[in-house]
Amino acid sequence: MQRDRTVRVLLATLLLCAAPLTYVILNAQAVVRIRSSGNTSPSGAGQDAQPKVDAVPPIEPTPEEAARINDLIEQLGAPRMAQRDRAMGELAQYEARALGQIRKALTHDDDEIAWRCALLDEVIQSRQGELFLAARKLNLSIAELNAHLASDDIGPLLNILKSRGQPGMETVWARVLGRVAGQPRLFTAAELCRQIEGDTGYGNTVVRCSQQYAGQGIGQNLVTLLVLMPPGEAEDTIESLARIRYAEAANATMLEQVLSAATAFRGVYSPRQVFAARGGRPMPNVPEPEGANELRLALALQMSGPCTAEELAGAGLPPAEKMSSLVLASWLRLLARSGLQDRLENTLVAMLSGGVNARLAAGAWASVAPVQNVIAVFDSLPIESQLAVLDTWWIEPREPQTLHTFLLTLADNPEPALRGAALSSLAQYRAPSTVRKLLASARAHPDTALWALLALRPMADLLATADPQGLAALCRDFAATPTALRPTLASILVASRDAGAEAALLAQWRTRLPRNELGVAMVLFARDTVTPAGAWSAALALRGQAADSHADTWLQDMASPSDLVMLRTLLATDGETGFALIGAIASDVADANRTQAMMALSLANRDASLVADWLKRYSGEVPDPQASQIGWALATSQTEPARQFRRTALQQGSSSPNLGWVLMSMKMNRCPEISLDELFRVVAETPEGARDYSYAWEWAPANVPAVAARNIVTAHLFGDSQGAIDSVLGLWIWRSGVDVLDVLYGKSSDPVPRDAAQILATALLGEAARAGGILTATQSREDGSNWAALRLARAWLGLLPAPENERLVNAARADADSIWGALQLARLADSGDADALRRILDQLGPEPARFQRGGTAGISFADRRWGSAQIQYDGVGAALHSDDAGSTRLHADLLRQWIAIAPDKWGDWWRCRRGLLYWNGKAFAFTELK
Amino acid sequence: MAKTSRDSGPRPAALIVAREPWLPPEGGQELATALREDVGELLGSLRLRIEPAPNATAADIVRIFQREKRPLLLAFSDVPALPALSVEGALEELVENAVVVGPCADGAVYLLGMAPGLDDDIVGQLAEAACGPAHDALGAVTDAVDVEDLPVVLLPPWTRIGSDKDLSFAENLARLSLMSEDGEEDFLADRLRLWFERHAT
Repeated sequence: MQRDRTVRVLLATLLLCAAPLTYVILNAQAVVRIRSSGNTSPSGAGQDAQPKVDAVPPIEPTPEEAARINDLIEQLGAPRMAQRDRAMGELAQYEARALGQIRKALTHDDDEIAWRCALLDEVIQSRQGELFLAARKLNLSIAELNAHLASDDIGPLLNILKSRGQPGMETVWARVLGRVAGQPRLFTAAELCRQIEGDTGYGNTVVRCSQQYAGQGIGQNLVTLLVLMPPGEAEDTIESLARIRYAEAANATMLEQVLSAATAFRGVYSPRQVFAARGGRPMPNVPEPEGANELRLALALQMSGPCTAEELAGAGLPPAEKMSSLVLASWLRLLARSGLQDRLENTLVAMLSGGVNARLAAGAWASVAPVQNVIAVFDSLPIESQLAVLDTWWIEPREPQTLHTFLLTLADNPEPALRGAALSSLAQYRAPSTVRKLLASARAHPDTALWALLALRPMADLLATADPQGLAALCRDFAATPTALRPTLASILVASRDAGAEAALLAQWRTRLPRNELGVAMVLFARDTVTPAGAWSAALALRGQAADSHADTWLQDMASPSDLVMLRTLLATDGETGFALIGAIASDVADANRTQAMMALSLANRDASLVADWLKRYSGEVPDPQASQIGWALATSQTEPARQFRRTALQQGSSSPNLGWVLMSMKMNRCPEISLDELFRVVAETPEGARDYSYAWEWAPANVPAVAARNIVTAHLFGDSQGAIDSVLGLWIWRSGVDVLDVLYGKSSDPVPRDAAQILATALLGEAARAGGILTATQSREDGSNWAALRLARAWLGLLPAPENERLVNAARADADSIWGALQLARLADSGDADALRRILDQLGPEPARFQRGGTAGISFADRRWGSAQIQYDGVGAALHSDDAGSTRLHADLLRQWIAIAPDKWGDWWRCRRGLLYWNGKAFAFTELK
Repeated sequence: MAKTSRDSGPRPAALIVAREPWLPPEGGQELATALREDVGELLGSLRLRIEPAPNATAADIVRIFQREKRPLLLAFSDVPALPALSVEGALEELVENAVVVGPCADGAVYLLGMAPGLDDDIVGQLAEAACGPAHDALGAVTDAVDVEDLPVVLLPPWTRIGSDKDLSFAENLARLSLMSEDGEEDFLADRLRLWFERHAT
């Protein structure tokens, strides 16, 4: 007995010296945090002072609790250590309620009891009671556990948890997940957590982690974890998403992200479960952000799959007219995807009769109700609702004949906002009647003329035949048009390709070229490279073509004040004087515009006497500070030496340093002596060549030789991009016919994907049966680096349980601009789904900003600069923000696999036909409108 | 390959507020037209979308701001040779700040920028200030933005044509610009310059 007591005293002394010291050091930060959260002394002094004793104030226990606590305190001095430890653990659970009695025992006669009470006091004060208990379960001291949690390498702790972990350690798990949330290890750690803690414990853990750590920029990772590994109870999912959103309040897109992520849980929980879970799991004693309950309800509605009217009735939701915009938007979407058209109509009627703003309800109703039904009541709707209806139909065009007729009538509406929306909507219904209406409206209504002209621009080529008198009037009125409208009007006249219109514009611009019309003027000038102004403009336009940019946009962006001065000068002089000026610039090695001048001379075929000198300068034979830039001129020139320069580069093969200029020349349509096929045979003749020119794959023709195609694919799967494949490249590989699995694994009998990118390539682009075999055999790595990819890839191939496959694939493809979304939509388009093809072209076409989730059109959520998050509903007019002609990303060759008549530059061509696309049973076609 | 330098976001909007300049006895209306068109041309060349509302009232400005949900610049039709740098600077500042003010020495403002998300009340006050008497505009704007935590940025001062001296100043600017090495690149108010040439004394 005496010996036992001696050992105990010795141990206690050691622990007293070491443990608290370590503990205090490790928790210094936590102590500071506690003090700074409202317990600073009134004087404000003592930042470095010890923590206040009552950081956690004592709470009076019930008499029964007090008796038990006293009993446990006595057990702290029990002869058996296990008993002492158990008592200590149980006391820690009482937290503040045990504090009073613990403090009285600090001077207990038994040193062991006094020391353990001192430790307990500190543990409770620092709010680490739960952590303390967990440490005991893991057979660690709290200092050791804290050291593990603070360590850069969380591996040892995960090993301890794997071997000794038991349920009830959510605090530890929350900290572990918080530590690894920025790493792939998050997934394997979470999986281990779920194994040990069970579904409920895992759910609690994620909620805690979201609360404590999401604000550190890891919110998106936690959202991904939730989607890939949903908690067992809907309450935990809702609560976690809500907390992530509020923890990352500074991230303006987080609200949209969590609402979008919520859609990935459809099918995980039944509608009844999510309705019941709509209150989430608020944490006691944690202040609730404003609007938290609304967000939880909105998340629940987003998470619900299609439901029945009975399920909705039993949910006890507030009436629609009393819902906030955030909740209402989710509610309406739920009604729409549940096919509850009657409920939508009733909601709309209730809101209208209640005098509530019904724009959201009107938009949702218009998305499901027959067009004719909506048109029948359109006039009786308030204007906000009318705009919402038009906006819905703009995003999801239907029944073109009916809608087109209706929009034509609206284009004369006396209400400017409605008229503007209708004019903008008409932009996607190319027809002679549309052109006439847009033109008439532009002339009759100055306040909405801009909308009409912007809508008219992509179909301006119809003007000369559809409305020749209107076109003539436009030319006449051009000079007197207000400054704000002139550039748009000029671009229409240029796009009309009408000789009279061109002459009228040239006459104007020769007199005076305004700087805000410079870009569009250069488009017109560039058509005639025999003139100095034309050659100068075409040279700049060629650079845009080489950059795969839309000519109008490029010129608008890149034309500089020096171009303005130059063109004004060139327009004021005769041709020879103008070319003499360009020649002088081309020979001035110090002039910043020298390359453009050289290209201009080439375009005008005035470089015959110059190319020999350019070649010497390019090769270094004649020193030239801009030697490398002369390649632009050599790529443009049609002289025999320049052609020979390009042919030689091609003959030298992919290792030629000049092959890049052949590519540029080809891109600028200045290389008739070499065909695209010929070029790509050389560029991609070896894997090395394909790698060196991997940036050029977008120009590869659809019928590129099989070897070249394989080399291009190899270059990307093993190149600098680490195998990352975006939507456009993914579609190209998918169509190329290359056996991706053969590229990745050859004939290996034991193929193993190297990393996540190869796993995804295997699943998405490989032959399904072999890919399934490979990915079934692939092991998940302990460091988690392939965990998420493997799960998604298996879902894509249908290797997970059926509902999970569908859910994850749907979640992954929600973004049409991802390779998942693009490939899934491409498959649907192959089967004749016009909506799927429209979505591909929306995302990879000229104005993707309009269609991005949370973007400018439709219902979007945005953080206000000041105040709480708000819902935005942008009308068609607002969707016109991105009226600039942009570049298309989908190669025309790929588009022609679906629509044979698509031109190379298909941006404007598509804009004015978007609403007319349909599947005629054999091919995609466009509705013909008169 | 490199794409264009411009991002795919919406173009900022601009509205030219009609404000009568001081007009000389001869060619006054021509001067007003030249000034207005120069401002429009500059804003257009900087790729701003100009709202076609030549006689916008304060209420119109508020309505346009609410509709656009993107940065809105208010320019004024009595400002000669509005510096492109000020416009570009204002757009840059509106990414981080709520309001950008371009002050004139006579108590007017020559540019007023508002960021999306600005409270409607403040927008209303700013619009009233912009459409009210020119000499009171800066004071009214200052009162409107005197709100705690509202980030406001001041642009370098510029001038407007509020008197014959201002017009003389603008004429000298044009002449100096033509004499400079870069010539008319520095002074892009072509219509105003042409007016000076026609009305040379």
